[in-house]
Amino acid sequence: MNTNHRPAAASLLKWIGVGLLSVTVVPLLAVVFVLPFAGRVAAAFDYSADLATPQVTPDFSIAHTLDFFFGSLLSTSTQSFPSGTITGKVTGGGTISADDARIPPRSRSFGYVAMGQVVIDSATGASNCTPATPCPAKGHLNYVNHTTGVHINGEVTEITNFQFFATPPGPTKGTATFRGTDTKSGCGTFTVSVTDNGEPGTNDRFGIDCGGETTFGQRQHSGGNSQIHPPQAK
Amino acid sequence: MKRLTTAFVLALFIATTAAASRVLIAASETSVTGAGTAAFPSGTVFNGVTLTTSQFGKGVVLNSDGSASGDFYNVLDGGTALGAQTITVTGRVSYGSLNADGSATFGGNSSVDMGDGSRPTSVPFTVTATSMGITLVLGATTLPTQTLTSGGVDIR
Repeated sequence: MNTNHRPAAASLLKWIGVGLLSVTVVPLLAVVFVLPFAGRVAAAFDYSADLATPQVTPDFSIAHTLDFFFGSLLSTSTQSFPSGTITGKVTGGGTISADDARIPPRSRSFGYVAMGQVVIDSATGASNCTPATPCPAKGHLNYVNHTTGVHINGEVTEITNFQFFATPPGPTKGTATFRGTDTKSGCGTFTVSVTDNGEPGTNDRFGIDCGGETTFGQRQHSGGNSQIHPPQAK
Repeated sequence: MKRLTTAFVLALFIATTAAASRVLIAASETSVTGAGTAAFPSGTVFNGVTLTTSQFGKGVVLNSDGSASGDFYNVLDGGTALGAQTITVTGRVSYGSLNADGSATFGGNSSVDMGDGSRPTSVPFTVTATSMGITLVLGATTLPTQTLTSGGVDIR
């Protein structure tokens, strides 16, 4: 009797041991070895708590796989632009304009945040976001025309252009266009276009169109800053 | 049984990785934006300049780990016995968080131009923003709260 039971008991103990090992060591290994790439894993599978519409198809090609794991190591020496799927983010606060007599300096104030998942082409720095195929985004805009009293205020919902400019190592430069709906002045859908021409922000540009409110294209800041954020920044 | 064990271990690994990814991405971000004008309480003086009104623009992203990024711009209008003077604060935000009362506090380093012909200086700054106004701290000086007179501040 005993000889029949021992192998069964030993086998049971063995599998309990394997089970315990699995639930402790494997998650630890997963966290240690994969967490550094977690952002990329999430992007590849389009896990996003905020952006509901999937826009990226997982790419398992060798080139993409190498870029997935080693992109950050290779990019500084071989690429002119950040590339791949990133969180495109642009922020700004300031006044316009310094280049158009129709908009005296400090006559318009703005503050904005716009960010969303974008796919950057490593050859051009341009993204997959276009007016016809906008990228879902989040953020907010406040804009005041101090001459007329118009206050445009609304959530950012789409990025229709996002592009990095070729720059030597240093501050990132680029341009972005985003849209949303005003809930304050009743002007409807606003379209904001900004350009980050480096630091300080004296050469940066901001433009808005919403109903009858317009800055006649992008106007040079009379103060403040606009920033296209590098991909590694949160 | 070996196949079952292998499948179990693999599934556990994938689940852990996916969960870690979700946690990382789901880390909440809050945007603080604002544009408009504001007023100082009477008697506000900074570096010998009597401040009366201001103009501001800001776009800031607060991360749940206390880091932040974005821009803060504040023009402080006032004067001295010699005439009108405008102080310009242009700040780069590097940290910030939400407060229990719904306000947001953020800060970083700023360039302060006193508007008196002297060269702009680099000064640490902190801002506490509410929908009613902003409180600016420049170096060791806390300026009285600027109360909004036009525009708005949104914390979302």
